[in-house]
Amino acid sequence: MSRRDKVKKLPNKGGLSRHLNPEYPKTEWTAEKWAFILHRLTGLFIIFYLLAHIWVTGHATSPESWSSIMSTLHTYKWLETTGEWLLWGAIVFHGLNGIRLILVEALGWGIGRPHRPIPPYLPYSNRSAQRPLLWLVVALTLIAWIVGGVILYQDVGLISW
Amino acid sequence: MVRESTLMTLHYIAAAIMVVVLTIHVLMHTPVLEKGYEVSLEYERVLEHYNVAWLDLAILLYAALFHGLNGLRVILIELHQGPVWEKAVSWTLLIIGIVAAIYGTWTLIEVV
Amino acid sequence: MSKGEVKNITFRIKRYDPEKGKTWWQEYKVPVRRGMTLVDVYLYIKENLDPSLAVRYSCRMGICGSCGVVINGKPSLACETQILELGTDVVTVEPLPNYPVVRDLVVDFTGFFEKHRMVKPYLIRRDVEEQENPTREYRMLPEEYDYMVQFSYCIKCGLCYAACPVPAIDSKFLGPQALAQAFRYMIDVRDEGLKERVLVVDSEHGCWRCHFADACSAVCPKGIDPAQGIQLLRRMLISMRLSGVKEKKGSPVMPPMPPETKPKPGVKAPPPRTVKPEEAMKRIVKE
Repeated sequence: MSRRDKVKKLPNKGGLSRHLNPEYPKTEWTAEKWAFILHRLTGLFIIFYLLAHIWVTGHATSPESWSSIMSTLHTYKWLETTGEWLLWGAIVFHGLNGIRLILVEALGWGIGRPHRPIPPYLPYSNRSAQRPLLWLVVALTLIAWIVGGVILYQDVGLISW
Repeated sequence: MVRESTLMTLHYIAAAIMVVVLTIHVLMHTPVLEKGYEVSLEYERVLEHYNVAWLDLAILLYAALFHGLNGLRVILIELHQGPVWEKAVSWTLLIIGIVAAIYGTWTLIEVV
Repeated sequence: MSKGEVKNITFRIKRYDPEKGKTWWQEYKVPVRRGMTLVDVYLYIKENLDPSLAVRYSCRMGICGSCGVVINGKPSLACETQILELGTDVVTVEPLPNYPVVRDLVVDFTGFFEKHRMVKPYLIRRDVEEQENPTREYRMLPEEYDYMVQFSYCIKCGLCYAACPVPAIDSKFLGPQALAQAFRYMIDVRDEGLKERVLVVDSEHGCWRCHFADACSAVCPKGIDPAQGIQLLRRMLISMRLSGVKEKKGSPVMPPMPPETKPKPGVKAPPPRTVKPEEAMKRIVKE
């Protein structure tokens, strides 16, 4: 065993816990990094909803079982509707950002073409069409989420004017 | 063993299919194609949805299960590494997927 | 600020002592002049304040890639960061994340270089005889060269790997640097090692674990765009999967140079191809 192997090294992970630790200076995150984290969280939410949804819709085989599961779900109306509203926002964001990701990751669109680096070194993928597309995704998501929420809460009779 | 590129290519294809199929599915519960959200959950309306859009629902079921569980697999193998863990994640999710797909298909056949 | 003026700046440095297994933040007050880089500050601290601070640097001009640290939350090269341009009174310096820390600001790059080696960052040709004893160069058009050249400017400083959010949770992930290098050789028209590299890149912890956070491109000191390379690599793998292409034929060796032709009568002969210095001297003396 050489002396180099005897040194006790400190594992130093740059994960989320590091960013939440106030000891460290605030790190600037690229917009794409926020989009990645939101995409992941909304995806997790949707997959668990999907499994529950398949189970709930399995009750559609007879009117009795359908009305019983519906009345169970309606026990906490506010909770149910708020969950549905969050789901709507999650689906819109995951879907629209997913379209952007298909364009960028699978088709290589919106990130520029490799070129000889010219000072000042500003990378193309940060400045090309995918960045404004991300802002479009965020704007459309917010609009759809708010409009959908108003329609949803009005429809189930929780708000009215 | 399935190659990672096969799974991820299918992941993107399933995503592209779902953009169309899920839009139809969601619109069927909104004022665009229906009177309203609350109305669309009445039993007769639900039955009609199943009969009108059974193909849409079937495609959505398989595409969403594949896309979602593959996404969950990606998250889980990034959280922890090791051959045993990766095998366990793949097989567990495969079994969950097959069970959910069979249950969903059974519902579709029963209702339609 | 005028030329000779001095500004007192506090440096908050994250330290680690492997013998005691202890980490702490230490503060140093350093008079900073215009043009002073962080490497100059290291030297000032080691000379005047605390010789025990462990740092790593070599060339001081941004080409060796050994002085990467996190400055005010951004992975940067210490030698290329001018302190007064940061514009803060307290400058925080910490070792690069996603690497094990050896001592203070020195991190262990072993795993990083192993991943770099995994993608076989060298030209692979089927005709080894020609590659070892070349007759002439392989053909490459200027456009093909321009398409590939930015990825070969990599200095392996490891900033992209430190900025990437994926290695923070997935320690087996190849990382932006290795994937960009794999892409650089996969698009090289002279290369024939597509199959070997696809095996490495198209694995469970290969290019599919990139989620386009674009943090790597934002910190690269050499203007390389690893995120762009990885997305194009993925597009390449998808189209290979759909079309069934598995191999690539490398560009041919250039044909031999034409023999020297005799000048036509009446046409002035061109000057000799190369003139050795002593021959040139002789000719000048003769003239």
